[in-house]
Amino acid sequence: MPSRRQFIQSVVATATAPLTAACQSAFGPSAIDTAWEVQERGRFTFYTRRASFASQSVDRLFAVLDDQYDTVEAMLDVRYGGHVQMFLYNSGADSGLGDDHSGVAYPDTLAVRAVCVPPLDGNLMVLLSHEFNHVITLNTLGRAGTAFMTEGIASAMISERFHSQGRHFLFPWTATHAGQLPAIDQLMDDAHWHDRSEQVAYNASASFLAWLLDARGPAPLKQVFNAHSNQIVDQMRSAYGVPVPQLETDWKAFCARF
Amino acid sequence: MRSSGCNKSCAAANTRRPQALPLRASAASEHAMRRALIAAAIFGATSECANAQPQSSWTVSSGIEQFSLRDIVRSGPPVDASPISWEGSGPVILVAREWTTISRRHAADVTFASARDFEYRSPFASFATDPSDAARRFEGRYEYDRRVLSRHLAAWIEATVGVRGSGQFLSLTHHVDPAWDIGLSTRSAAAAIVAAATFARGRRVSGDVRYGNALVFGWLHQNGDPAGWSGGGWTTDLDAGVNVRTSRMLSVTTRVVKRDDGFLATHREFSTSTPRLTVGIRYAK
Repeated sequence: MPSRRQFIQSVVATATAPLTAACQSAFGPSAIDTAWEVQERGRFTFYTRRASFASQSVDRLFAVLDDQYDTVEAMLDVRYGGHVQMFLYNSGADSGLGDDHSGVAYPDTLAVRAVCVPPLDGNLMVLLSHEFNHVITLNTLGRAGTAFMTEGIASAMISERFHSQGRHFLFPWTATHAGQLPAIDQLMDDAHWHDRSEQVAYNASASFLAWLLDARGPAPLKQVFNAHSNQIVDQMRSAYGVPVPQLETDWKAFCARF
Repeated sequence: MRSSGCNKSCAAANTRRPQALPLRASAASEHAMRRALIAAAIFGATSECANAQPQSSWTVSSGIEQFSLRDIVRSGPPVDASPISWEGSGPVILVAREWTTISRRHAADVTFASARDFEYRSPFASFATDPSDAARRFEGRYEYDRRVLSRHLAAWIEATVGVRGSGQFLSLTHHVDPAWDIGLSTRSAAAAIVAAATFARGRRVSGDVRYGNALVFGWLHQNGDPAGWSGGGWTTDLDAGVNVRTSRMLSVTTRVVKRDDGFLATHREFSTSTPRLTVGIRYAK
């Protein structure tokens, strides 16, 4: 008969054994999918499913993203040489991202995963451009200090060469939703980023930053890009010379013309 | 009978529970005792208790450690990590001190690893990164283990459970063409539960397998950003080693470690994998 103490030791060992396996198995990274067809195009490598819509659309998608690459460099006045890997899935279920209009970016490893389903229209181009923009902006400006900057800048720099869902969508949208928009200094606080719907937060931040870039250029934006929630309002005032509510008033007045 | 066949250290272990042996001895016939002693003598000549006699040791090892990083965008299961990894490798140096008694083990070690020659690795190809990319890791650990299940296991195997505390500094130099620095550094502390099994079959060769799982708390600084972020994560490691004794005090030790870490901070989440192979000298007295 084992002693009471040894019995307790055995129980503790048995109980803790499964827990020790928990972290890596639950929180470790997903396995890397290898069922891809690979196509190299300039500064991009496209990974597509065999004989998929994406694999047949690579030339067009490359044209869109290559233009986006140049657009971001010009808008931010930066030079970038990263080679970006685009993983394009057949559906939300295939990607594990949920729905058919989803994507994610991995700036540290210069990669994007996105769902690529027909039609090849502005919506799809905006999705891929937005995710690619995360890679190039976070690698050239440093890691943003707020969700406002991270998400807003990615949509603010959408090129409209192949569609009109960049500024031609954002500014009129702002005008029609002006009464429902949260205050910009609230949106800049990560604690309040999720208070409104994702669409409102993404579009409002993108519209505001697109206007800032057009009106004031990239230099002051670069100064405030890394600021954390508790610093960004003060740093905006310092970089732009006016308080955030004044910038917000000017932005809404500009958008009201659309 | 198993215990009577062990060497001096096992005999010492049995003195902690003296009620068992006299009972067995009194119940056994003289013939059975003789057979048992013969069997014990044969066993004793070929095997050794897993828990060697109380001793302390120093181990100095070096080898190769790989460093692999994948960024994470969704940290909850199923974890969404990049299909591309940023990988390099380089030398690792480890100095360890260990104190063991019959039922307890204390161990402390420090590790320095420096990885270079980084590349981005996709499922199909590798892409070169900036030649100056590097990862440096400095870690100190202390572990306390207690022996468990000693009555239920053979003499040549010893099971332990323990706790481990550690502190680590990790510095990543990571450049993106033409000269953007997206590297970072973390300072973290971890508390782990460790389960281990030690084997000793014969006097020359022994081995052990250790499994640890830690919760991590720390601070992350992105290069060029004076402000930092607090964060947390985990470490899971599986560590197996073999010691081959070459003289009374010296052993050659070889260890293989599979280690995975995750660190989650606001706006920056990543997992790393740092498997390593080391060979070293162990001096015990």
